[in-house]
Amino acid sequence: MTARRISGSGASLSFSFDGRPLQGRAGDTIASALLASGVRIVGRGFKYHRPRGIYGHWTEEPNALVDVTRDGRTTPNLRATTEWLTEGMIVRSVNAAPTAETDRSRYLDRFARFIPAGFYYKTFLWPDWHRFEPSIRAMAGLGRLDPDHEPPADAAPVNARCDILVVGAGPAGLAAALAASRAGRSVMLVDDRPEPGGSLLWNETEVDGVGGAEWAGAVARELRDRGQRVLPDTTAFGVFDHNLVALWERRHDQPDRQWRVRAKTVVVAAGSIERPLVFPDNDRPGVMSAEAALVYLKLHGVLVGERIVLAANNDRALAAAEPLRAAGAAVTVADLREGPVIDGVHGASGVEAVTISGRRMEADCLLVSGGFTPTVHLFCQAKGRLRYDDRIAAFVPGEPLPGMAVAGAANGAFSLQEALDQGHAAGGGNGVAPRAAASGAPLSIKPAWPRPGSKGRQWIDFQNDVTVKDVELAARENFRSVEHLKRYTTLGMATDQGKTSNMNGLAAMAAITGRTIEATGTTTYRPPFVPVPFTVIAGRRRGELFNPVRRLVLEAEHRAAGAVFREYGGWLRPAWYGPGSAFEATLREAKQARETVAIFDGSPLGKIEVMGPQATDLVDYNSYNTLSTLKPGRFRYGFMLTESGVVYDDGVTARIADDHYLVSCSSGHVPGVMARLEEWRQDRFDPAKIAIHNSTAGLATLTATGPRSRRLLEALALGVDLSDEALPHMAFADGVFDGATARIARVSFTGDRSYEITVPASKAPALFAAMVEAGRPLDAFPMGSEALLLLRAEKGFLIAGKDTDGTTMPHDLGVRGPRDRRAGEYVGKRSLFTDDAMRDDRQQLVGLSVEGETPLPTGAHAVDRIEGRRRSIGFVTSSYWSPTLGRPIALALIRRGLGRIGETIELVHLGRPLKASVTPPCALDPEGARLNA
Amino acid sequence: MQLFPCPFCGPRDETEFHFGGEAGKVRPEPAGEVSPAAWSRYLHRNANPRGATREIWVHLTCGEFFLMERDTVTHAVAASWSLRKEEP
Amino acid sequence: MPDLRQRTAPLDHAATLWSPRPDFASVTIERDGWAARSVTGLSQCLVSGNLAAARKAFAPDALEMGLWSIATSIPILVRIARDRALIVGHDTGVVPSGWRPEGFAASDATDLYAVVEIAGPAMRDIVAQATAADLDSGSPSATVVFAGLQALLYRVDEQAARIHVETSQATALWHWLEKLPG
Repeated sequence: MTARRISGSGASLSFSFDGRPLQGRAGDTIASALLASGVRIVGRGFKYHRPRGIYGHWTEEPNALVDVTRDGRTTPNLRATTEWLTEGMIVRSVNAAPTAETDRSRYLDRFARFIPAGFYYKTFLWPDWHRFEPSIRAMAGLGRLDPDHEPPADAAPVNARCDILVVGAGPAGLAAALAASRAGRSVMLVDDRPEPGGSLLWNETEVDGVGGAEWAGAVARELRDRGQRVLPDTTAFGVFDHNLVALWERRHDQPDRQWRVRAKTVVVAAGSIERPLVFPDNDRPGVMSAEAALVYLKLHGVLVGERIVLAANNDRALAAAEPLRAAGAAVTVADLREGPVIDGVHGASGVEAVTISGRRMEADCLLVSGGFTPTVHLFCQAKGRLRYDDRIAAFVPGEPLPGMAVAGAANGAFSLQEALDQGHAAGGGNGVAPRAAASGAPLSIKPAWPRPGSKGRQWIDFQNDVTVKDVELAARENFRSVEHLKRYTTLGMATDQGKTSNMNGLAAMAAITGRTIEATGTTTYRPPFVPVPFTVIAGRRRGELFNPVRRLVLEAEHRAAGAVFREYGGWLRPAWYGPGSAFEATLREAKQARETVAIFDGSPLGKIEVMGPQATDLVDYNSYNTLSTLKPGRFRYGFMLTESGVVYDDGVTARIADDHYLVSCSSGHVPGVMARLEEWRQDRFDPAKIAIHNSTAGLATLTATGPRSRRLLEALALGVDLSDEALPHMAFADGVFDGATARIARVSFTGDRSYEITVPASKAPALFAAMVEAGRPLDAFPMGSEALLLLRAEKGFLIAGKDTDGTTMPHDLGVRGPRDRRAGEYVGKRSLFTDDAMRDDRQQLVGLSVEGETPLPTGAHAVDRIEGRRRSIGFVTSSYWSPTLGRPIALALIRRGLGRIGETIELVHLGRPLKASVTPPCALDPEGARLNA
Repeated sequence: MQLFPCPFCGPRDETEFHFGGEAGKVRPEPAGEVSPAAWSRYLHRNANPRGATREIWVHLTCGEFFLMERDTVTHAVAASWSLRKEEP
Repeated sequence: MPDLRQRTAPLDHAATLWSPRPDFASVTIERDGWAARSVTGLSQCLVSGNLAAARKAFAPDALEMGLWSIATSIPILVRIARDRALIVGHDTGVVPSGWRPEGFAASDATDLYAVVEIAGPAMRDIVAQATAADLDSGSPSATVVFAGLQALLYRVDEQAARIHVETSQATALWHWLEKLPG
């Protein structure tokens, strides 16, 4: 191999590749360092494991994928051409073992005819996919994932706005940014390289009297001096609706960052990408992009070969010959416009010779160019349409889009002056555009598309190992549209996203199917333009910032009391307290709650105030149960239905005054209930006569439940008459605690005597302390949610969404009154009278009891024979061991359940048969005597 | 990331909004006089046009339900209108 | 009773994932270029309906705040919606909730919203990470989505922002601020 470093300076850096220690320089990419070290084979083809070398110079690189270890952490599948070398970097090839050079699987190429495109689809048919699956999966990966490498998620996206966002700091982009800035607009200029200039950095040019690179630096300085934002190392990877552009900013000593930029105008000056020629064995190491050779020479001082053959079909690529000769290489030029044809490349491990039109030439490097493909991706993501320009053999932007301009090579303008002119105009520039010393020759391209039916194996997509024969196969099997071609052959689906292969692939399909290239068209463009790390997209949403839960005001007190927390309905709540397993603690708390008095934090329960002259109308309309007949000072339990008649939530509503209600709903449904109340408030009633305030977070509720609960309340001395006459079940009264109103409500979710005390949240710590203190002589104790769920199940009290499903209507729960008797409209009413609602075999909520001591598994299905076949007739919704009853209890939704009470039914769970008998849902104290005990 | 114009708050990111249904659907009442077909149409049938459409959206942060005309293909927003009968 | 010990619950990470709720009476953050503190002692009252009448009843001198407005004094009326606002800093004592004959409803919100202040030259950068709202253009409503949470956002000074979030979500906001690098 004869690539070598010939010029330049910079601090020396040590690194290794596939275990081999090598030297590079500050400013190198991994690719330029490998070339400078004479490394020729950097990887192996995905399917056939043929040796591969570096082809390109930037994001278009298809072959040089590597796993990179930095500071002990490994990131897989990075492109060697876009990763900057650092001291001590450990670089490994992917898809090859033990090394790229000595890969064990290189024999696979001999079986190539058995593994064409889509071969695995055929194994689905015969003999049996599962036989091949393990080996195909093992072959199908690329890099290795380091399970210990959790990249930091430290950088939140930055939101920014500007008048003009210019993507690309090449000549067109610089001209646009400069013009816009001088016209007084706010400008953001982004480029994915560390220095501005784009193609000015590797072409000999002069702009406005100075060298191209110098001019670029001066423009960037002027922009910064005027307070404009210039972001190097930043890729605009996606355009989204209404001109929101996502940027990936790579930073060296800090985590990478995402920008979300809302721009009034986006100027796409993203340049173009050189595409390869397609000929037999065009995938050999040493076959490289002509432009890449120029970039390695100019930016890194690396000469890619001693004896170079340069084969191209356009002037722009052929212009690389001179600089390469000046650097000391012997360059033979093959101008394919004049007729010569590349017959093939010789050398299994790398280019040793090239045969063109029958003439064999010794060479160590073959530079190719089949033309330049404008980088139109952002334009197409914004739903822009392309048109095919025959003169330059390229797809260019068609009808312009509002708010977006495309300039320079991205717009098919390959000459320097054209690029400057277009950029200047796109930036809304006054006066004259920057002048290039030499206007630049036109592309003068003669298309050299792949020719189907020709001999030898000719690669189109290097990374996914797709050849011209694969395109022919796809056409034969009728996958002729470009979208089908892509999915069937995987052409364009690798991490390089077809940057060097899409055009050749669709041109091949066009030739095979006898269509024009324009008619064949391109596949859909979608973000991201390059692979973007998830950490950049996720920002800081990791761990507890990912989906934060709501917190109780009393959290510290619960922690001090030994609470173990779980998430319930979006809140972090005590599940149980104290030592022992979940099971032990829950049973202990549930048992004791029915013996003494438990203190429970019920703060998350929804507390929505509906107020105003039309509050009654809204509350009645929203509820299945009539609420307008409720007297002030009382509660009523009821349901809220969806318009499909399904029980959405259950809860109690309190009437505080004629025009003031407190709607309570389950904690997880507060936003949903608020939304539906607001919707009807604005849509059906007069919003000026109703107000809905969600006071849930501002009020804390502590419940005392159990036979000694009244004694606890008396000890608190809240100034309320606690006699059962003055405060019966389902009534409330206002008292005072520490100078604030304390509402005491007799509502019970346990079935025992219960008092819920509601105070402003800031009073909660004092109230909790007072309850604990007052409760000491009563053996009071804090109780968690798990015990509460068990206690309510003993009483057959349902949890909406657990004991009801997406079809459960109120009459399935035994609540028929409003359906039978309510005259006025309410949400869901009509749905309660559909044929389906009136079926006699609907699932109904019942209890189940079993013999023995093993509770039924939640989710176990009850089964019966229906039309000769065993079918599910329902399932177990809640199931617990009851410490109070000393036996298992369960709730279930069973078809015709209420009519089966007393019967034995069969259940099945994971193949095991079970038996249970159907009972009413309430297993404990059906008369409700414990409420007043 | 679309920008929607709340009639009160002005243009905001689409994540502050929630779809509220097709505009122009009137709830058939009273329940006793609504045929199953009419009720099913109200619940489930949507015109779902390709192109210009009028929809109800709610701006979650201020809670206002409003009418918006937009294009379902290009995502261009034509205009939005308050549904309030009179200004406060 | 049989041994019905269950296997460890699969979501046990919930027990260790959530770091404790801070003590909002005292907690602060000091960083390079910015500092954050919890603002306590502000009276707050949520009003809906006839806002002019509500202002007259509780805080006749209140300045109206929209998104990113600067409050040079209190009391203020932070506009939430066409017909809803939060009155902050009034001195009429705890407001019992209910409908008033003048055509508005009021409920005490002193414990409903926690207030966090972020101040310093780097405040704007912090806010740019927390919200995508167009602050320079402002908005009649001071509501935003801030660090993923529904919030009210205005300023008390060029370099000092105030954020109101529901008390139950104040911990999430505080952790978001605490975990900012730098």
